[in-house]
Amino acid sequence: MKRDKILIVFKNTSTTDKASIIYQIFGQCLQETNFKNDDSIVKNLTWSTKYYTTKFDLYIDQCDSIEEWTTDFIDPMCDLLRDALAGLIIIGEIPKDTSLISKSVVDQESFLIWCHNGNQIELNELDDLNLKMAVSQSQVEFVQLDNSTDKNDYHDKVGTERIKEIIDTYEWTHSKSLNTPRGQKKVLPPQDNLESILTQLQQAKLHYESLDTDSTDAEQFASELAKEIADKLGL
Amino acid sequence: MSHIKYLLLVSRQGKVRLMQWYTPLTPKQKTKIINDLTPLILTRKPKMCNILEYNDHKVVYRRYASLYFICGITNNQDNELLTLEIIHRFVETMDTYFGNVCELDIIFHFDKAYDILNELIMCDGSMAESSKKEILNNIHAMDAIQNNDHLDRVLS
Repeated sequence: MKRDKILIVFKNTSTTDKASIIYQIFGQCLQETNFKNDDSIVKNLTWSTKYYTTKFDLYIDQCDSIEEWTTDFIDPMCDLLRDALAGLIIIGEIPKDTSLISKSVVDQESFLIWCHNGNQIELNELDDLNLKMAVSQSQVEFVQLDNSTDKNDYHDKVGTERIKEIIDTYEWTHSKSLNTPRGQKKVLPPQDNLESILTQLQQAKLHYESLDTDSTDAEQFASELAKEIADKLGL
Repeated sequence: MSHIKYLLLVSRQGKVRLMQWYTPLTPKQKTKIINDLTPLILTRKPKMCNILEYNDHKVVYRRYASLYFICGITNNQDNELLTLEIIHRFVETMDTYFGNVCELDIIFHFDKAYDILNELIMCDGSMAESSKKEILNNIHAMDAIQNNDHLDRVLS
């Protein structure tokens, strides 16, 4: 099944705060949509990184008790929803006993981010909690939502930047590769005829790489390009 | 002379992003090393020593942002501090090549990360090249050859 949904659950959060958090995390995706603060489903959003883009749906839910909500969520009736989830983001206070967080909330193919938006927690304490979770092979990661900095002492991303990083590194099953050139190469703007040909070749190469090289389209593209370049060079 | 046994690159979520083995080990032994070392190193506090003993050898690790670089080294043959420097050189080289390297760069261009590592450390675990400039020259030469191949194919 295609895992192309992210579910975000808020515990007792006002509509304004909810929208503000959603914009902090998914702001770049929501620009092209008509997202309203009380929407519960936003479809066809695009998550972009320098390497890929992917389409996903954002589901928004609210609850009074995370414990009760998770009990409902792990019920077999929600199997279909869980199987379609790329990830789950819970916005609420981190429980005192983290061992109670069941491993079955999400499976190994999804991510679970627990965003603490209550009293400030020391970053070291949060780091310790995350290490415990990583060691127990749990998919949960705790993030402090109200962070004044983007990075901690080890240059780890924290707060919303970390949430974005987790979404970035998630193994999307249906992402579209952007064919980013390796290393730090940049395509220079054409300055004269020869440079414009070189730029065209470079762009053609990138386009060719994105095609199925065994297809007739790729063959046609290659032959047309070769003809065009030969014409420009006066051959 | 350094004789590294293996190098692992593990994310702070415990996912292995790169692994390179310089001594012959069975798949079972490799899995055991990964399964043993990942929790062992992830749970270490920041101020703890970066060198620890594991089975019959020592393990040197270093954390860079959300990634842990873990090296198994031969007792009485490898220098722990030199191994830390080798790890640092590997990171510096990737950083220069990718421009502020991040986990995503390694996931999507793992082939380049392996190429850089292979230029730095030989297949027997000894250091092949210490010059960052030289390593990058070789990697860029590889890129140029690869690009020429593509170009020939497009223009053929």
